[in-house]
Amino acid sequence: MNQNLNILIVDDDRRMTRTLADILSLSGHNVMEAESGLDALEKIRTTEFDCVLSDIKMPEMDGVELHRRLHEFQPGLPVVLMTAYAADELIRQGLEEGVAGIFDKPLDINYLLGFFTSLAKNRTIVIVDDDEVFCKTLDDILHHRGFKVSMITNPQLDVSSITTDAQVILLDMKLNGISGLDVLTEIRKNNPTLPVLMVTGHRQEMSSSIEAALQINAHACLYKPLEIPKLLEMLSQLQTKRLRGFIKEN
Amino acid sequence: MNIEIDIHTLAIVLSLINFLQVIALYVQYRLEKNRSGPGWWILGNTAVALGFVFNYVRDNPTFGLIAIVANNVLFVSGMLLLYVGVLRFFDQRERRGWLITFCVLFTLAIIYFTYLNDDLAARRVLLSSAIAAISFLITWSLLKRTVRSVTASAHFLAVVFLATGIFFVMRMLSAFSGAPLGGIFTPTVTQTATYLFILIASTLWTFGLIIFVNQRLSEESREVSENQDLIFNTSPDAVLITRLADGLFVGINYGFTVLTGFTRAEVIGRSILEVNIWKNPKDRQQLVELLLEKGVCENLEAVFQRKNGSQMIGMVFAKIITLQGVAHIVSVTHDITERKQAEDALRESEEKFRELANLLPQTIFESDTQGNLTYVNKQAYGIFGYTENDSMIGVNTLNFYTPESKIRAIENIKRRISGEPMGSNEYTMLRKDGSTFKALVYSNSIWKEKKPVGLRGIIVDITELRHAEESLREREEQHRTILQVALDGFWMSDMYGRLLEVNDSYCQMSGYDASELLTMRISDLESVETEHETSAHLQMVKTLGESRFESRHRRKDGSIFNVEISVQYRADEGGRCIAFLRDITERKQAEERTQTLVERWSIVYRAGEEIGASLDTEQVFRAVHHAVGQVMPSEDFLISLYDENRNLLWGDYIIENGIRVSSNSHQYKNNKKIAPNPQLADLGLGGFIIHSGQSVLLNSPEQIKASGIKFLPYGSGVPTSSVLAVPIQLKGKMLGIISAQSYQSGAYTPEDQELLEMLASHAAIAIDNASLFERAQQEIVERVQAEEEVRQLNFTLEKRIKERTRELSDAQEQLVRHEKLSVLGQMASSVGHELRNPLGVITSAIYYLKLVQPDANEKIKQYLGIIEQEVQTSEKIITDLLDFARIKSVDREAVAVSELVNQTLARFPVPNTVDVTIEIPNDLPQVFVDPRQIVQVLGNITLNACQAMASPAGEAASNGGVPKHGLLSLHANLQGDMINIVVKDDGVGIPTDNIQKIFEPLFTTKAKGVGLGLPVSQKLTQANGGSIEVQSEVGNGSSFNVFLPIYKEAK
Repeated sequence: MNQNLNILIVDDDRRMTRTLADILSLSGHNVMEAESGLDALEKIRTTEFDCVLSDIKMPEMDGVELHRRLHEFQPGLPVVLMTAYAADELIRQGLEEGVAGIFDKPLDINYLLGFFTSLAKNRTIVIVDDDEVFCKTLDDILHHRGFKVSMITNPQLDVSSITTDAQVILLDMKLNGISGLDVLTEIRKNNPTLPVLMVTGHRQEMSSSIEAALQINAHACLYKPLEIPKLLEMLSQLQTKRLRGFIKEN
Repeated sequence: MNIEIDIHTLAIVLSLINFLQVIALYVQYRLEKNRSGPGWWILGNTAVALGFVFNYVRDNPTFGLIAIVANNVLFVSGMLLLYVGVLRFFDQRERRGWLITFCVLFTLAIIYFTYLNDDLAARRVLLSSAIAAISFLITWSLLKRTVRSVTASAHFLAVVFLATGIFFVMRMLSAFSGAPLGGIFTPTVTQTATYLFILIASTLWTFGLIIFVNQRLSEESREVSENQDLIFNTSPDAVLITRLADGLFVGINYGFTVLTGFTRAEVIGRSILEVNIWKNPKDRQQLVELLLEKGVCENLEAVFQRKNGSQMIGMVFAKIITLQGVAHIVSVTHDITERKQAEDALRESEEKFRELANLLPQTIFESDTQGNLTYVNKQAYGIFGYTENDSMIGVNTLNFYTPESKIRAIENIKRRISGEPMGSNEYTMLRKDGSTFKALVYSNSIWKEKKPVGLRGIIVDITELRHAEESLREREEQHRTILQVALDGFWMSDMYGRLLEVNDSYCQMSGYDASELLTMRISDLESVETEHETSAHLQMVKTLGESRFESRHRRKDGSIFNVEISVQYRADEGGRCIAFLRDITERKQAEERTQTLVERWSIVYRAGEEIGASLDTEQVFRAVHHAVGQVMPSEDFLISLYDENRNLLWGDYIIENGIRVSSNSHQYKNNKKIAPNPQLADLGLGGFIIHSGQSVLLNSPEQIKASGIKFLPYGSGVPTSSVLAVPIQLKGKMLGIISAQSYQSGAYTPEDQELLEMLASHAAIAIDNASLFERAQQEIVERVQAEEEVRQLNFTLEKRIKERTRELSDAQEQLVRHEKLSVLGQMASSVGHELRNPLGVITSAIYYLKLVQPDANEKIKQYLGIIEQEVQTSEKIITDLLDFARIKSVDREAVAVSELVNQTLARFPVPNTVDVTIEIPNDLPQVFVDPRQIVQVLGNITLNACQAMASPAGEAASNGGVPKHGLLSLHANLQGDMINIVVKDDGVGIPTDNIQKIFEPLFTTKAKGVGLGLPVSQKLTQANGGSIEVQSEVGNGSSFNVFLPIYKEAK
């Protein structure tokens, strides 16, 4: 899997973006620099990024505001903020609104690189459903919203192809000849905590299976037709939780 | 011609035939009994027949003569009876007198010619002419009386009788011919012809009569049938004949075509199935079933469908008839659609009336003229105690009146029935169970065809009403009493704000009499709202129903008082506002006092700081005056300083009516010498205060007068109403006075006095300082100008000044110490933040350089390392500063103590020279803290500990740089709700003097460091709900106890 990320660095201090961009480039990442929130939004519209690293205190648009705007149309794009200030209120607000993490300036570069390495791993939303149209549509939506997505329309009970690089799995309850519950059971053998969202269009008849899935730690059960805003929010929260986990670990 | 006919035989045949004719006529008569005529004809024919019978006995010698008479008379009377019969047949009456006279005369003539003068010829002439005459009479009658319907048979009979008449005329004439007459049975031609002719004629007329009757009958029956057809077709009802078996239309009438819209051609010959006139085919089925069962059906209501689809309700009468042997249904249908609609409408309106009547709360009744009830609504049962089971209909209304009411009721009922218009009458009425109630009765007479037929009316139970009126009156009385004695003011106003009612309390409150108030409007009393606003407010009360607000009212004497008003709107009589008013002046004042208390004290406090920091008396005066002006009224204000040596009081700062007055130009110079043993009256205010050392608080001209203190009138000439004056004194030494005066009564409170005293005490210090300073300077100047010898003294003075100044600045420093610290903190924090940005860039830059220059020479690497190290140190200092300046938000969670200790040792590695022992029991509860902050705390402490062990001041150097081995022990135990983490070292320890200071910021014994580590640690620990304690002994090391709260699961 490609460990290199497309990273956008936003800071009104050009020396900061310069040095950081150089360091991250040396580590193999593709880096772009933006000198203001508006500049960043402009670049995000034309280029696909895996992560945004932004200063909090900037004129015109601060980092929290930038995240707020980004979250609206790209909830899948992780945003981390850095700050030289103990601007408590702003930081608290950012964390509440789903910023993946806050780094204090001066940055601990190794720590930052470690975070990016973690971010690069297991970041795909895997859609497992035999309904190709459903897969394709959902893939488009999520991708458009900044998530990394892959889809599997013909799943096997050998689940390694599903779990590799997955951060969240959307698993249909009724697959081509295989029960979603069996797939989940299989996944749980090696991945006891990987978030799996069960999806079904048959709320009534599948209720016992749903019950069983939740028993073995399915994260939630969603019903078709999916409520997209709710799904996006859920995925975004799962991602934020995961990224904050990395920051804590480090 | 000689015809040999036995005349006897002929006579017998004739007689028989006549009898047979009688029988035939009888049969006819029996068939048509109700028609007159034939009966007479029977009698006639019978008479003629009997006449022939008497022919036989004419020759008998005994009876011969009688027989001749009877024979002749019977013939003639028979003919007469025929004549009567014809007349009767035409519904004519015969002239009976004439006929009897004729008959008697004829009988007498025959008797004469038989007994007295037996003359055959005369008898023949007489008989023949009589018969001929009667025959012509009959002929005449038949021709004259005939009706069109029987013309033919009448003419036939007329011919027969005419012929008879002619024949008998000829027979009569034959008697005069001279030919032998012979006997009756003499077979002469004439006689034979007579018999034959009579045979023929009687037969013919008998037939004629029978035909005559029958033609008349058939004609009549034709007319009847024509009439029936006419009736059939002109009937507005639909008549329909259908075949029972298959419903084939056989006949309909015109009414049918009108009612159904079908023409005859459209239905005749078709089946009822093809032309369906029944809306519900079941109705026809029911009709057929009824007919089959009973043969007849009456009053069956059914809905029919017209050709155009519209509907019609018909009432059907039907019967099975047999036409040519086949069963048919003949039905007559009467259109009752309109009647039905009318009936429905009537029923509906009746139902409506009944329902309405039952819904009405009042009782409704109708009675006849006798007073017997013919109708009552439901309520009547309830009100009079009847149940639905015992009907009230028929009960006399008088039963419902008490005996006393009854007499009046009867009188009134009579008057009402006579149509006299009356209003309502009040009665005491009687229930079934004997109880009574008051009621109003309204009624009208019912008229039908201009005659009164009964009464109709309403009964209203007014018991409740009377009770309510009674209790309302009582309550109103009560309310009025309560309102008058209430403590709260009360008034009622109309919507124009005019007062309509006030109570005593408000009169007392406002100082007006009730009679005065009742001529006033709200706006005359209101001092806050304008008249326009008041009127808007009243409208608002009307909209909202009520309102509660505070306002200020003007008393009669012009003073203002605060009121709390609670108003309620009442919609009666064009809108009324009921207001309760409470005098809340005192409460208001109390509120205001409380509200401003803090504010005022803080003003005084701030002024005190300013005053205390000043060495300039003028500045002190201004500050005092400014503060006083903010907290209390002081149109006149004065600060006088007291020169103890000269026993003089100087008006140094005088404000009159808000304007600063130069003390020198002031005509009432307040420089007052105070006598050693003054009389109170001579002292004046300042003198009194200086002399007594007491404050003066006088709130009215009366009090001022009563105090006996002499007040100098001020320049404005306005007499002072309130005075507050306090001494400026320091340690019992009088320095002066401060006096505030107001033109308003009651301007000052004891609290104002305290405030002013507080200001005075601040001023005292400042004035003392200032005067010392001034005097010292003054002294310096004087001494410098003086002789050389006093230079020594001068020096002493200078020293005193210095000392004094230092004392002052020490005090000042003490005062602002905390403020300084906080300013320092703020500055440190903002500077720190700004430093972090460049430090961040430096860090990145170094990182980059190290990254791109992995093979740089050692020197460069070393320098990069130095830079990096120093950046880290700077960062640490900044972090400490920032942490001290403000605590980051505390993010507490449950965490194990061992985890905290492990993290601390990982982040703050202990040097090799220190041995670490850790003793943390496994069963310790978790603590509830922000782990990052606590790790920092523990790190700071371990760092200090290591430093205390590794480099005790100067020791490392004296040891030749060999670090001393140290022992650091970390252990924890549970103490109540807290965990105590002990960090113990065996370092140099802390001197007792310093133990109190180590938590003070910027205190440090280290060469390096800003002295914020422990203060930050303490702050962080406290922010996490814990505390830090220290035990230390110089030489034996220190022990830091960090107490942290244990985690309690949320309940």
